[in-house]
Amino acid sequence: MDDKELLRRIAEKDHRAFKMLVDRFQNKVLNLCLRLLDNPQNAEDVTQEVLFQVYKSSRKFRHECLVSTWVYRIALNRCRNFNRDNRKFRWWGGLHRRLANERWGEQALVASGADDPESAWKDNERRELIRKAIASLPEKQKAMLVLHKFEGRSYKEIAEILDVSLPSVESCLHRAKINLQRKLAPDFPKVFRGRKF
Amino acid sequence: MKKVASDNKRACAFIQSHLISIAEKEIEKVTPLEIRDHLDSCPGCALLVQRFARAWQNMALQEETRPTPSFFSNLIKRIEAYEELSSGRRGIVAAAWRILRPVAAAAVFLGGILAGNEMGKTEKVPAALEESFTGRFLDSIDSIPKGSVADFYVSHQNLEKEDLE
Repeated sequence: MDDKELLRRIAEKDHRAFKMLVDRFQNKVLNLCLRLLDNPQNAEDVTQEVLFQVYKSSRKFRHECLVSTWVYRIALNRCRNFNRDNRKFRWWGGLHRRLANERWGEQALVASGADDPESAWKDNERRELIRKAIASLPEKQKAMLVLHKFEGRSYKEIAEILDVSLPSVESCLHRAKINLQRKLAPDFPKVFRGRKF
Repeated sequence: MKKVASDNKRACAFIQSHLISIAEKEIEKVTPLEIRDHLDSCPGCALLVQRFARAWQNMALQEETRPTPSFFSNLIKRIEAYEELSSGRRGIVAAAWRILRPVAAAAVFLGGILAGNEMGKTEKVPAALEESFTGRFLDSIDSIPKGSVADFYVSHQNLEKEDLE
């Protein structure tokens, strides 16, 4: 059964169809929210909001775009609203992230078999550095970068999701790369070359 | 010799300032020939690109996170509560409450203002009492004996007022 048919059934309050739609989208939405919000608990809450919104608005869907595009659009809007409403609690998210990252680091060390724990730790440090630089990008650039680089969406899909033109997506992604490059540049010698210049 | 060194330095700077694009090309194995040549001859840049490309790729391959087991049951509970609210008698009450809520809030706010106004009111001093107090005060000034300390103080105050005017 395709997504549009599922949505039609959900509009008729078919809970089984809704379960199928949730199974199809929950991981994608959760991972997108996680990349944009940087906190697993918040990401899950927002994912629930998104799917609830999908259920409520299933009748209003005009079938002008793909269901996945519509769901992604709702997710991005929800994440933006969440960030706006919880700006003052952002430090808490940072703390949570740091703790999670420490746990991840420990797991990485164990997974590496402790043969080269330093290398595993350094890999984690580099990943964390890139993650922080992405998190500090402006909202729109971050959303486009995450959708394109990490979610594998095409320029056309991103343009549809964010309701912008194709050249706008291209230029915004280009700016995002330049910004990211600028943010990462001071740490290149120390973190990526392993020595100070 | 100097020229080669400066060319190399320029190439290193170029790689550092275009690292994301170069790392992406390196991942896709489509690195341009000039850059590949420099990477082959410069171990520093090769290491930088290799490490960055690995970190960049790791970011994209982040393991998929799954929701907690209670995720769907919580979602269904929420939907059932929503459906219960939006249909039947409870739904009508809820809709009425949604409309009346701002009105109730405004009424409470206005009530608070009126109550505060009432509580803040002070008793007015009767005009007759006020006049009698002023009259007695002026009489007491007139009755100050000439040449006394109080007389000196009052006249000194009057002089200061005149000076200011």
